[in-house]
Amino acid sequence: MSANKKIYAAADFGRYHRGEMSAAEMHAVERAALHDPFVADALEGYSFTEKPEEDIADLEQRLAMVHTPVINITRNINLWWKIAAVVILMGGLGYFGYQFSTNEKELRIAENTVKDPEESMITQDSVKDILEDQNSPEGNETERIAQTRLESARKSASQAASQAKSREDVSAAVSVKMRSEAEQKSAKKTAPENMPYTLQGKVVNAEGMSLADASVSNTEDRLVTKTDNEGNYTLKATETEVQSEIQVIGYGTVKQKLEANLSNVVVVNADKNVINNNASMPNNAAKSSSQPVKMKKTINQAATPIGGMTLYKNYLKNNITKETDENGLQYIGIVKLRFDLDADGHPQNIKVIQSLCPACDKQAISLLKNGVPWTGATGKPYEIEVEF
Amino acid sequence: MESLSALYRPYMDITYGVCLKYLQNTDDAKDAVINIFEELVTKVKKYDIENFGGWLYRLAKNHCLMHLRSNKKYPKTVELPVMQLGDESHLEDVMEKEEHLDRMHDCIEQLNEDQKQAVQLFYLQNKCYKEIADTTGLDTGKVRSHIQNGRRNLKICMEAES
Repeated sequence: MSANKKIYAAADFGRYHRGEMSAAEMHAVERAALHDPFVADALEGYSFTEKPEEDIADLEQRLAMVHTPVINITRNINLWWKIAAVVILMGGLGYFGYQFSTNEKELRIAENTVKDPEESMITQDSVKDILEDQNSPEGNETERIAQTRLESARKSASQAASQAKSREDVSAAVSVKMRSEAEQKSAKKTAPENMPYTLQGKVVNAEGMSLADASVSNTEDRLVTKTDNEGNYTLKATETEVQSEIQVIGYGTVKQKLEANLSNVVVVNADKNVINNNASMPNNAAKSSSQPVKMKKTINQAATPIGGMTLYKNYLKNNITKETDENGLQYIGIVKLRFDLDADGHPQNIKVIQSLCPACDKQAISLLKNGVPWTGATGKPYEIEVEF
Repeated sequence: MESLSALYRPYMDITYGVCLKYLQNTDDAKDAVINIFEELVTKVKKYDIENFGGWLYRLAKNHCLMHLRSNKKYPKTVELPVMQLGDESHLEDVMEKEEHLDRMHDCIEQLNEDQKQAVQLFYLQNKCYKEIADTTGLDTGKVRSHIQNGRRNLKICMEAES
């Protein structure tokens, strides 16, 4: 439908069906319908309502309400992100403060290393004196004196550290070093590079179409990633099997266990819920048909044709010939086939489990037989829908 | 969001018609129109759309078919219009060229009587379906079917002759 074509409205279709149009106007609508399936379908559709104008007025109101709450939700989400950022920042500051206080002793030692040579001599002398005094018979008295001297030395070291810029720099360096160590300790627990296992796979819809930009989260290690344009994702994990959550806009949320070293295919349904949990196959199944294939479900719509389901759907679409009945009307619908795979991945034992018409069934079987091989376990049943 | 709503609004009526055709229920069709808009909001960013109307039609139709499939209410046969937009435009161009008129005349003669009559009345005499139905005594559904099939056969014939 190009921009210069008339976009018909509900009132036009209503007038057509109520017979309020002139013959010339009706002819114009019919001619537009013959050239544009959008108009043709709409024209036919409006025969199912008696009050098209009222329906559209209702829809106008609903459409106006759709985008208002969405904007509010977005604002709320932004607000929550801000709150979360502040909490994380304060938590981080508290953690570093704690780390700083618990390492005060090391800091004092660091300060001592940058004292003035004279003060340093005093401290060393003091300590030497203490050691000597401790070995003397007047132990108790000398211990008290040593304590006093030690405190005095510590005080002077602290003052020197606060006055000398070079000391401040070193102190800051020590602080940074401590922070860095603290971060490394923390990172050892959660950093993806320290996680030994890799979860990977693909997110597809019920049609086998790859879904880009789907959010895949490893809920156990709190890691999240997005699928690429081909629907593929890669995620690190601390365990070989972790619980995950997959969110796709328009498809809802799916919870599924993902296993390391397998290609975890996640199938999501447009109707919010999962239709197939845990359909997994080895990463290299496509490379070698002799490789053992691990399938967790016996019926698996996510078994993949070589080249991917998107290409395969295109193959079907490009090679299907529309079938018509005796009145010349086209059949529209699906033929559902069940099959298993031979050792080379070719479909065999094909059975029609949902028929559309005899010729349609025959054509669907022929397309499946003559298509590319599939990756999947030998002898296990799979299903595919061929759309007419 | 507001701009997408403004983009969608002119097509909402026609989209509602498509949903009505497939779902055959005003409540379901209304829900579908809103759901399609929400789907559009997410999908419109991902695709380089040259023809918004054509893209929206495909989105709406797929949405309805998915809905039907999930509810297992898919009809066995649905009377379908000819879908090949590009081919139809091509046919239109061909029909308008004077040098092809003779060939077209021959092809029209090769159509069966019902298709020939319907095509002639619709294209050459600019009659609407109802007028053709009144003239021929057929119902309008049959008239439309004869015109659609006649167009397809004409196209095949014209391409074969060229």
